[in-house]
Amino acid sequence: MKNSSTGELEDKLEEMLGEQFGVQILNSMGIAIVVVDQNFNILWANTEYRRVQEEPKKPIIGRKCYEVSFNSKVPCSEKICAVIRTFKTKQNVKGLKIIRKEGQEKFLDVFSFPLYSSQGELEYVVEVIQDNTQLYKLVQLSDRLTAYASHELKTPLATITQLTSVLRTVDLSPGKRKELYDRIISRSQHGLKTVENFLIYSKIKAGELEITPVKVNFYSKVIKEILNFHTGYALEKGVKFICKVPKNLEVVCDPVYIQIVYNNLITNAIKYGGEKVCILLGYQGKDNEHYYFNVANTGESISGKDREKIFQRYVSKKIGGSGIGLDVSKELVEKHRGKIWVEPCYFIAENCLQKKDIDKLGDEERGKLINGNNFVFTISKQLVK
Amino acid sequence: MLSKPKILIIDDDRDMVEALKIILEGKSYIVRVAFNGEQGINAVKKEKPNLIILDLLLPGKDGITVCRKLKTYPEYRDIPIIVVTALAKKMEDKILPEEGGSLRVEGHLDKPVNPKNLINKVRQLLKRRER
Repeated sequence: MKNSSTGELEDKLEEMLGEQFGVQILNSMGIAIVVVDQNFNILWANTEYRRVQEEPKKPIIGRKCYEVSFNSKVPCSEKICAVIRTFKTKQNVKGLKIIRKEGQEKFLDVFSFPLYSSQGELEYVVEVIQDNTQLYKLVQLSDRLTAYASHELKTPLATITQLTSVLRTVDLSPGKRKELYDRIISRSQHGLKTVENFLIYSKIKAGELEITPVKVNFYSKVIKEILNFHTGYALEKGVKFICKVPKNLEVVCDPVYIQIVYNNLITNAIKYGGEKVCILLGYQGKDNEHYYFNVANTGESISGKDREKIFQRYVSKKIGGSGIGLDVSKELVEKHRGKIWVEPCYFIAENCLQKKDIDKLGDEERGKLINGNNFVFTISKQLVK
Repeated sequence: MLSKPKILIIDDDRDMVEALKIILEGKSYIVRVAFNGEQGINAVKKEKPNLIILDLLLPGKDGITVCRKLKTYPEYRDIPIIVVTALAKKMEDKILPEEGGSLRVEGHLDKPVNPKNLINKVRQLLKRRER
């Protein structure tokens, strides 16, 4: 019964489409095609349909389409099923099918067309399915990014507007007015840095990010500038900076982009390190290939499983984070033919220790240790200016 | 209320705190500040404010947790809370009504706050509490 139905249908399809478009071609297409009758029995399906349903081996001819797609015992509602709507309206219908299996989601664009018998009766519906999961996921990610970007920009803008409205409406002493102007300037500069990250991100996405390496005194062209930028704002929050980068170190790099790496790491440390965070900017030496720099801060240690994840696009483990800063930093470091990673660390006074170092400590010293995170990044020594 | 009402601002954005503080002090309120959720709860216990202005996105304990926690203490549950947030309107709609039943937030203002609206809301809630 199944075979004759399928055979008849293949004949019908061949007759309709002409010889040059055979079932073989339908099978080789990257879109899924299935034909169902009024009782939702699958009469014919091409290879791609079976792949999309993740049942390439199981026989599906004669089974109900809702059972194959959704593992359901009952037909889908008219609202979500394009096939039902086509049978009802005898019109072409467009819909979206979302399949959830084992925690994974598939987004399938569905187009269904009526297929008439030679007597002009609506006998079958042809459903053409395109797996647009990647596209839908990109749209979802892009929506999330837009939401994050809006929030990250709204926060400084809201504060600047608030400070400005106070300056306009409240009678203040000259000293207080100056303080508020300084706060406005500082917040504007931080807002600009946020925009800068998004601009770099769009350059990365477009494949247009290029670095311009120059030989610089690393301390004066990178560290000093970044410390100047953060000190005022950070002092108020009780942030303590410790700088252990040698003042005479010369490095070939793009100082503008390396400043952005530092800015992202320091901003995160201030944002998530809690009150009175201690931030250490260090230099861990060099080998034949790379210079090793680090930004370590006191604060809750990032868990092992999150250490990899936080450098992935859009992943933020913290409330209010866009997840873009570390992703941008990773790309910028990789442009310097380096790597970036995070490891747990332990602070004692002004020293940042690694796990292997603390084994040598006595009980009293161990008791004084403060947990932290150490972000290490490398810059290739082979960059040509 | 014979003594000046005391208002506690809980917000990690120090510039925003400074701006709100100036607005409120300009109307003779006593202002206390806290910069994270934990500090905020401790400040409520120590200062016993007449009203709380609370941001939602806070490091550590977030605003929703702080709010829930405060509403569990019989001695603090009647302190009116105004949520002030820079979250997009759409997100607020998602968060606040959903949590609203247990949160019992008495007021809600979007950042940046219109100083007049803030003062009106503060006066209205303090007056209601006096009754």
